[in-house]
Amino acid sequence: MTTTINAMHRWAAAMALTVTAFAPHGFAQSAAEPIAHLKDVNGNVLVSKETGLASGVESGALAKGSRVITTANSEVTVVYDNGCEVKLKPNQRFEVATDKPCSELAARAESILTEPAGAIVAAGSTGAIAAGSGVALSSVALPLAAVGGLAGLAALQTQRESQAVSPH
Amino acid sequence: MAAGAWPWRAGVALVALVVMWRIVVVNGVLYDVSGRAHLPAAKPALGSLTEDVPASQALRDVLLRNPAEVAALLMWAGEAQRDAPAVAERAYRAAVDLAPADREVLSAAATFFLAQGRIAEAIDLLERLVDHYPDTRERVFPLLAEFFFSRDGAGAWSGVVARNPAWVAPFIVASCQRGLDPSVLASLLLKRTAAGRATSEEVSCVVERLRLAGRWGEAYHVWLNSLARAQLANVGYVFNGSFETKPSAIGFDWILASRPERETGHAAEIVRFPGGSASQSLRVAYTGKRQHGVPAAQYLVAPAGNYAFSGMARIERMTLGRGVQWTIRCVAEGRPGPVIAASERFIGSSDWQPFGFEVTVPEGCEGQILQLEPAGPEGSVAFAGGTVWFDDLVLRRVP
Repeated sequence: MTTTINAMHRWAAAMALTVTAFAPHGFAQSAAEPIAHLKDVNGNVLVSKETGLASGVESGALAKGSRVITTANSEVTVVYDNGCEVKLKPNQRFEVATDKPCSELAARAESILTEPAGAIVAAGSTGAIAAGSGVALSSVALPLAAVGGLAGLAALQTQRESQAVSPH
Repeated sequence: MAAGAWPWRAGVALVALVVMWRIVVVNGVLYDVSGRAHLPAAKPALGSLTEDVPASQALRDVLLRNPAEVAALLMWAGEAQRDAPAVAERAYRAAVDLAPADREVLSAAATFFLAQGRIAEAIDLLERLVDHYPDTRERVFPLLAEFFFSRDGAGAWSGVVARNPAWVAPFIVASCQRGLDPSVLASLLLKRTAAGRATSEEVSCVVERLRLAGRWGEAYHVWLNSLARAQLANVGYVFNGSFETKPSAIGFDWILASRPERETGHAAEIVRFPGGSASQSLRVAYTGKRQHGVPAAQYLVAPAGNYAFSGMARIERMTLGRGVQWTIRCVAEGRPGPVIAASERFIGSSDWQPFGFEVTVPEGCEGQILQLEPAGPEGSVAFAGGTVWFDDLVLRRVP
């Protein structure tokens, strides 16, 4: 019985793929010619397939339109067949294109995370936080303290009456 | 011999009396039950002290008697911070050294350093404060959030991530719930996820905030970073479409109905199909009552274009109502819009069979939701009874 059910399951799945492949509306995707590949895959790198994202592997082939995504702590280099190399830092994405010169392609590797407006940002090791406005810390810190910090902390101190003192 | 012992015993008794007297003085006169000294400082302000005894003199006397008196140090520092900040700093530092976990010491010293613009030193004290006194977090977390996204704070955050103190996860969640810019949260959280220390509550809140803000790409990326390496092997447009892992209901994983079936009219679970099969499937049982909500749903981030959705279905006595169907809707401002694609209706009975439908994701539809709904006119009252099984759900891009 089990065998029958499993066999039916597999048969039905095969039929589904067959139906999909020969569907009149062109469900099947023609295999695109690879024009680049992955090199120096470090960490979790994802590549778009026809069913969505999947792990990218060393020397993995890339067709035109493929998207390459790096997660935190990961890096990879996309190497075109013509020798052009595009290096991706952590938390970046890159769409494999052919209509640009190599220098422009390299510039198309973009950060996935949006830089918050008006915030002071720092160059983190992950590359997720890019160097930002450059406002001095003290210029932010004092308004911070003046607006909410000191008032809030002062309120904390007023709650002190019943608190125990730590051992001396 | 007895006569010789008398002076000795008297001496011991005298010493005992002195010790007892000291105990009474210390515990009943100089200090309160919490261990804090009864000082002139206990009065509302130093100005209320008698005019013939200057406040600083009273404090000086206290400190001369006991230089380790923290309350006096704090008052001394408070008096000095306006005109002699260097003196105040020494007093605050001494107080912190003496009572490194005292609530008042930490908050007073942090306030002083904040006012002086010495942010890093203040943050160090504030971290201790939220660590020891969780009730202070509501007030202190906003300060920490602002600091950790500053130029200097980013480096400090790396240290916090490495130490992983207990307050970090509540800090992220509280900041998220308070409405901190989700990009700030994403940046803070990514270091935690990279270190494998982010909790599901953190990821869930931040991803949802990004999604509600319409920043689907960032939401998806933060969620991707939270997945284990094995889960990244084949993420797919539909995640875990074969139902082989337990749904987390976080981010872009399956969300199964959690309310009782007496309220929803259905129950969804991921189980092995009876008969010894090793693989798992989605099983949804409908009670025959009115349906509220959806039993299974998943947010998707499929770029605009054409797709083919396929899967396997088994139907058991779905005889009540119009049946159920899979739908895909664009989501905008957190709400599902009209249906952009739908499967056939699952009604009646049938063994496992394939099903599929075409999906066209229009431009501007950055995020979608896939959900199992009762078939029928939008918003109509729906009843469903019976059981449906699903497996191997795949969304495949087509030219």
